[in-house]
Amino acid sequence: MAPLGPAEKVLVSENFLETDHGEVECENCHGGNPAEKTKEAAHKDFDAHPSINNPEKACGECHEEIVATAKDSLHATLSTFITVLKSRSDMNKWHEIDEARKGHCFSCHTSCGGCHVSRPKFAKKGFIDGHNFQKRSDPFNQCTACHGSRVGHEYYGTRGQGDVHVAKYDMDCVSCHEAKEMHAAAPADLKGRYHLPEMVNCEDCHKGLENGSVREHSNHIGKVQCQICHSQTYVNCYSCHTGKDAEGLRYFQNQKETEGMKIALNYDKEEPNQTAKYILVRHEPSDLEVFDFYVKDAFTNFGNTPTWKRTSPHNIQRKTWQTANCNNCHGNRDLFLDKKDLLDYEIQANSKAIVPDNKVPKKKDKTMPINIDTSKVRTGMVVDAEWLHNNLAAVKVIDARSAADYEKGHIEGAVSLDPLKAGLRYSWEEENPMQLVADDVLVKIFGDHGLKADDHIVVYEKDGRNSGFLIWMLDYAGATNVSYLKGAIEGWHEAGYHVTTEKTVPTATTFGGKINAATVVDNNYVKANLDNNKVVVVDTRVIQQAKGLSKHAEAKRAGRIPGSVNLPLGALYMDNGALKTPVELLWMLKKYGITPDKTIVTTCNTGQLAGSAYFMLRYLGFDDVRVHNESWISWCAAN
Amino acid sequence: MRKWQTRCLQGAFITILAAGLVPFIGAGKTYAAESSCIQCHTDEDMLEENLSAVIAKGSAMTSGAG
Repeated sequence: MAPLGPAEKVLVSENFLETDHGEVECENCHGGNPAEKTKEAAHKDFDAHPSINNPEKACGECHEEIVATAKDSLHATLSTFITVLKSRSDMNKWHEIDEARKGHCFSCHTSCGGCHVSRPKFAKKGFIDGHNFQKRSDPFNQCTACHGSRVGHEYYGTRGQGDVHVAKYDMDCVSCHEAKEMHAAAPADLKGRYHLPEMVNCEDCHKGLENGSVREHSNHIGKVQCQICHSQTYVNCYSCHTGKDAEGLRYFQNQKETEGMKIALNYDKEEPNQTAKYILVRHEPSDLEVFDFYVKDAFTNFGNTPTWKRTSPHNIQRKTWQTANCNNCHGNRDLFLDKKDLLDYEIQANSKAIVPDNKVPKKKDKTMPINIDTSKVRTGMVVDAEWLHNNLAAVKVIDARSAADYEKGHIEGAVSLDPLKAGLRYSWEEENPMQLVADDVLVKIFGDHGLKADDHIVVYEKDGRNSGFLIWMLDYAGATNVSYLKGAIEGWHEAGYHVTTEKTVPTATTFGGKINAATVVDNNYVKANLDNNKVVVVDTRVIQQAKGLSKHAEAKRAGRIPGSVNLPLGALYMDNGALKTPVELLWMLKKYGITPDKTIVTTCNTGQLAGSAYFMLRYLGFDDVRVHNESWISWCAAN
Repeated sequence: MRKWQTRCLQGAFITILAAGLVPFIGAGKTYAAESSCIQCHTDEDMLEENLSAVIAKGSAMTSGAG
């Protein structure tokens, strides 16, 4: 979501004046003094958010029935935050706790305007269409402007494959979350958002599945929440701490975020429409000390409410790793919440959710084989922290994070080389922007960083994607032995190894090597092979770009290469550089028709994501992988 | 005669009342388009010239997903 300019934020469209809302005088909703001659005087007592501050007057005069409930909706009141906080709190300290809640938790609320006219306050406001009112909320400017880091990323494929409801059926947020749910009043003591009677359920659309053609539905419906089988991994947050910095600005800090999946016992069968025995749970960032800045020992009743809470990831797929084979869940102890997954202070809170060994479904003796050949996986292309620690002296380590992150602490001996800033690609001002620079320049940059083509080079960064991107460029330049650090810098920390702030100054050398030109293709190659069924063009951009719903800022238009398969890069990588198993990745790729017997051309907007995908496909044993270096920005300008 | 007089009085009353209401015709319906707010808020060039970005300052200490 590109930021709006200051004028764009408040520019009223001429079209608006022809609409029903254009028949209402501005000051009726917003106050102010239109007769005044100066900006300051005209805006005295002006209310930029009338639907938040006075919904009954601003919206309720015409939409009385809707406002009567919507003013108390979860979006407006966030009432369940209060319920949960109260359940954990020492109520003698509620005044201080509530002040912290208002300053932090409550900053996300919105009302009519934030869903129908402008970007929500949390998303820095501004009209999304010249003050024209939209009956249907905009998924990008409104819904995911707030629900972005989890829901938006999951739904549109920044994390994972994205959601089938949009990828196949073009459904946006309000396709499921209809007005009756969004406008529903949330009782003040609502236990959790899933307790809202109007909350949408899968079964509202998917009716009668237990009598359908999928045998597993009849075995599982009523026992497990739909998302257990049909969602992908999702992010869990730990230990959020809040406070104000030296300038008095509020902040929050999450100690850790991990991508994973956990099944728990249903600890709350009072939820409407949810009586399953097993539910999917996500770790929420709550912590005993979350409000310590404001008041100490606030949560004396922390054990009253689970920290692993029911979740409904927005990354649904018909076929997932859980549906690929019964024993991907059955007998898989790691998938079920265990006491060892909990921190000491949260054991009591989650006691009803823990799945004891005897409640983990038993492994099935007979299952359908998955039939994925992993014999070609290039295991040497991935190393873990322990291996790297033991072999530091024998390898060249590259830190592919930003220079600022490198300065804060890096693996000892690592050389900083940010692939986005090191001059490996032409700038936006040059001809062929974002494409690889001339071969001699490229290899010189690598040589200047002390690298030789026949070194064993290990690349790491924060989440792995830029490591993959750099590995492709090294491969192109002729490097013969490059590895990816599994778990990235966080994996290094978790393994207990130290970092240093002492900068490693590389000794410049000659890179050598032979350019591997076959790893790059141009627009002409892609165009010539659009109908070649032995060539698969894999569009690694997020779903909304591949569908033409949005575009890269530098692209002339939105759209995709005809016949390309959209597999968002997030499907191949996990947060923090973690990796899914090769068999799981290969199984998932097969679902998209991406198999090692074909030539795979990866593409995106600028070549960056395509390069990252190149590494992963090579690691998985694909022989013929090529990066469409020109990518969409050049393609759409030329075609 | 009396009937005629009553009718004249009623007619005069209605005429005076109607004449008194003439200035208020249309006054109940004012459009946003007639508001002086609109003169500025539809003028892109003027807004560009007179508005500058207000950078909402966030703490550098904030981290992670919201």
